[in-house]
Amino acid sequence: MIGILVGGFFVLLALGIPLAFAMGIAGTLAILYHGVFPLSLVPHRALLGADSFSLLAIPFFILAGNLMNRGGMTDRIIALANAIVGRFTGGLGLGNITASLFFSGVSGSAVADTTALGSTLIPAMKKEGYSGPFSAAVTASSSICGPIIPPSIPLVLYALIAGGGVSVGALFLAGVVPGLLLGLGLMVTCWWISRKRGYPVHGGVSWREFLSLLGGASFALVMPVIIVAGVVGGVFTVTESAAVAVLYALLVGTLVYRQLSLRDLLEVLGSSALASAAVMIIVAMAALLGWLLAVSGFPRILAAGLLWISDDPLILLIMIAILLLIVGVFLEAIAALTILVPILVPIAIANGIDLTHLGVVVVLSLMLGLLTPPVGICLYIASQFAETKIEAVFREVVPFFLIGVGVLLLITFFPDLALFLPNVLMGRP
Amino acid sequence: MPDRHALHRLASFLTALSRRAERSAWRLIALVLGIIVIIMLLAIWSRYVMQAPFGWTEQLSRMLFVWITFLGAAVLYRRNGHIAIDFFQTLLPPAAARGVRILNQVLMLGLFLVLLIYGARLSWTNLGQTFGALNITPSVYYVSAPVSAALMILFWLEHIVKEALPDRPQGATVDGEAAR
Repeated sequence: MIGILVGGFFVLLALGIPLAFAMGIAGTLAILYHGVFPLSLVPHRALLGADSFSLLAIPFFILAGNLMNRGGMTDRIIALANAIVGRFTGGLGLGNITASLFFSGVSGSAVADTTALGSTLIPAMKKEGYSGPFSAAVTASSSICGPIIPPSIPLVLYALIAGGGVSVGALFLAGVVPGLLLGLGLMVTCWWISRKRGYPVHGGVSWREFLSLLGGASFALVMPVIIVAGVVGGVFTVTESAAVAVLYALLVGTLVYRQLSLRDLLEVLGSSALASAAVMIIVAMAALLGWLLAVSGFPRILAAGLLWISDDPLILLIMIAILLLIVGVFLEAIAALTILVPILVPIAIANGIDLTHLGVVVVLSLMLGLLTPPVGICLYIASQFAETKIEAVFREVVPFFLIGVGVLLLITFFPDLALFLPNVLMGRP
Repeated sequence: MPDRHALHRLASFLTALSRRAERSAWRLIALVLGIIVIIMLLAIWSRYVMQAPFGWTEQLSRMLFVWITFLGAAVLYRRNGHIAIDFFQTLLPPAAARGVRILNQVLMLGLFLVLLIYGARLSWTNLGQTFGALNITPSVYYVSAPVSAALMILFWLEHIVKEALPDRPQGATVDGEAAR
C-alpha cells in the first residue's frame, strides 16, 4: 500500500495532474487496492483536514497582504528599500532583497512575495541592465524570507500539526534571526555578482527624502510588530491576530493611503479566497494521503531508517534537514508539511530535539525547495515576469540557493540563532 | 461522431453554464471570506469589549472556510489555477502529451466521482448527527465536497467537449498548467 501511495502519487504528479488531485487519486487507488477501507474516507479525511480553526489564519494573512499590496503599500516599501541600499553596486537588486524583507513582515507566503514584488521589480531591474534570469533569481530567492520572517503560513501549519508542544508565537520569533541572516547572505551574494558583472548603482537619496519615504512605508513596517506582539503577548490567537491585521490593512488602504475602493475590495476578497483555496485543498488532500500513510506503517519505517543512522539529536536534525531538502525538490511545501510533520515530531520528542528549533529547520529546508526544479513555484512565477526561460533562471539561482543551504546549516548547528529571541522574550528555559 | 452543429451547440451551452457557475462560486467565496473576517472581529470584540465571548463564532467560521476551500478548488480547476508540474509534459512529443492530458482527465473524473458519490453519501448518513456549539449537523459542511465535485464534473464536461471539437475555440486547453 505504501508503494501505491508514494509511487502512484509521484507518477501522477509527473504526468502533470494538479498536486491536490494527484494526492486524492493516489489515496483512492490505495484504498481500492487495499480493499479494507471504505471509499468514503476520501471525502471524509479531506474534509476533516480542511476543517481547522488555526488554519483560518491562512486566508487572513493572504488577505492582509493583498490589501496592503492593492492599497499602495508595495510601491512605498520598494521606494524605501531602494532609498536605503540604492547607493551601492547592484542597488536595485539589493533593493529587491530589502523590499522582500520588509514585505515578509506582512505576507506569510513566498508565492505572494514573488508575485507582489516581481511584477514591479523584475521589469525595473531589466531596464537598468540586469539580465532577466538574474532578476528572476534574486526575486525568487529573496521571497523565501517571507515564510521565515513572521507572519508565516508554513509555521502556522507546522504549529498546528506538531500539536500542543509548540507555540506559534515562539516559532514566529524563532524565524526572525534566520530570516534576516538569509536576507543578509543573499544581499552579499547579489552585491558580489553585481560587482563582477558591472551592474549599476541605482542612486542615493537625501536625508529629507529618506525620512518622507520612511514615513510613507511606516504603516507597513508596523504590521508585523502588531501581529507578533499580539500572538507572543498572548493577547490574540494567531487567527485573531491575522484578522486584526486584515482590519489594519483595510484601514491603512482606505483611510491613510486612500487607494482602496470598494470595487478593489471585492476583487481582493475573491483573489485571496482563491489563493487560500489553492493552499487548503492541498492541505485537505495531503491529510487523506498522510492518514493512509500513517495506517500503512510508513512512520515506523521512516523513524527506523532515521534512527538506524544515529540517535544523536544534532545528526538527526541534519538528517531531517537533508531529507526535507530532497523532499522539497519534488513536493510542494504545504503538502510535505502536512504529510511529514506528524511523523517527524514524535522522533524529535523522543530524541530531545527542540520542537521550535525543528520547526524553523523544517520550514527553511522546504522553502529552499521552492527554488529547485522541477517544482520551484517561485522560480516559475519570477521567470514569467522576467519573460525568460526557466532553465536559465535555474542556473542563476544556484549561488543564492547555496547561501540558503549555508544559513540552514548554520541554524541547524547553532540552535541559539533561532531560539535566542523566543527564549529571551517569552522566558522559555 | 455526433453531428458537428449539435456538438457546437452543446459546447456553447456548457461554456455559458460553466462560466455562470464559476463566476457565482467566485463571488460567493469572496463574500464568505468577508463574512468570516467580520465574524472573527466580532469574536474579538465580544471577548475584550463585551467580556462575554460568543460561543458560535469558531464553529461557524470553520465551516464557512471549508466551503471556501472546496468551492474555490472547483473555480481553480476551471481556471487551471491548481499547482501542477507540467515540466515533464513539455518534454513529450505533442501527440504523447495529448494522450497524457486525456489520461489525466480520465483519472481526475474518477476522483470527482468518488468525491461526489461518497461525499453525498457521507452528508446523507450524518444528517441525524449534531456537533459543536451550534448543535447542527456536520453535513452542513460535508456537503461542500460533493457540491464542489459536481461543479468540477460540469467543468470537466466543458473541457472534454471543447477538446472533441474539430476546430477548437480559443483557450480550450486541457489542464496541466499552474496558472499562478
